[in-house]
Amino acid sequence: MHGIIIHSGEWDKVYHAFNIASVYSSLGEEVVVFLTYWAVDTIVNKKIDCGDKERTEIICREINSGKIRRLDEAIKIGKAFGKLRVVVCSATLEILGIDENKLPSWVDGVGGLTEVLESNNLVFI
Amino acid sequence: MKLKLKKVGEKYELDVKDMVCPFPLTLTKLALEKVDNLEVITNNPPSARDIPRVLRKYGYEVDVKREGEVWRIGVRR
Repeated sequence: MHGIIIHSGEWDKVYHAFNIASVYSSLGEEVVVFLTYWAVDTIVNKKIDCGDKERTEIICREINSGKIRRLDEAIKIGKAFGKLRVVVCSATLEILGIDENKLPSWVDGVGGLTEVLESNNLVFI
Repeated sequence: MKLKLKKVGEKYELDVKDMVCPFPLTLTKLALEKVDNLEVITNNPPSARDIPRVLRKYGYEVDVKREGEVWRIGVRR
């Protein structure tokens, strides 16, 4: 199993981390993405379309042209193979005061670090 | 996830033109969950290089034809 911990809330880091996870999943490899701190803030507070800073214009243009997919679409592609699991850090929800019911539908569950620490390969972003 | 998948004779065509990595690969694999005889159409050079390499590694038969700026990647189980 592969594990990817996404701590950063920067859109491009979250996006590429999920792209890595999607490729693993498409190749039949089990992968868990564990979202913590600012990554949770990004996915909950509707910053998932094209980022929210100066690069937004470029990314939105390429999403609209079909060259790349929206973040939530990219995640759904990865999940379509049944090998990608997305877990949100329970402590983060408490610290940032985020209601679990506000998590996107593609989140599989809420848990702790043990969900991902047993991975053979672990990436921290 | 809707794929641009079209039946042409005995095989299915998957159009991933104008897409960049990793979507040509992940959508190809998604199509292969549904069909066994596939032709992937891409105009993205890195995808034309990487898709055959990865699919051969995972046991697929692959042949690649180039038509100008477009590659047709035939894939069979």
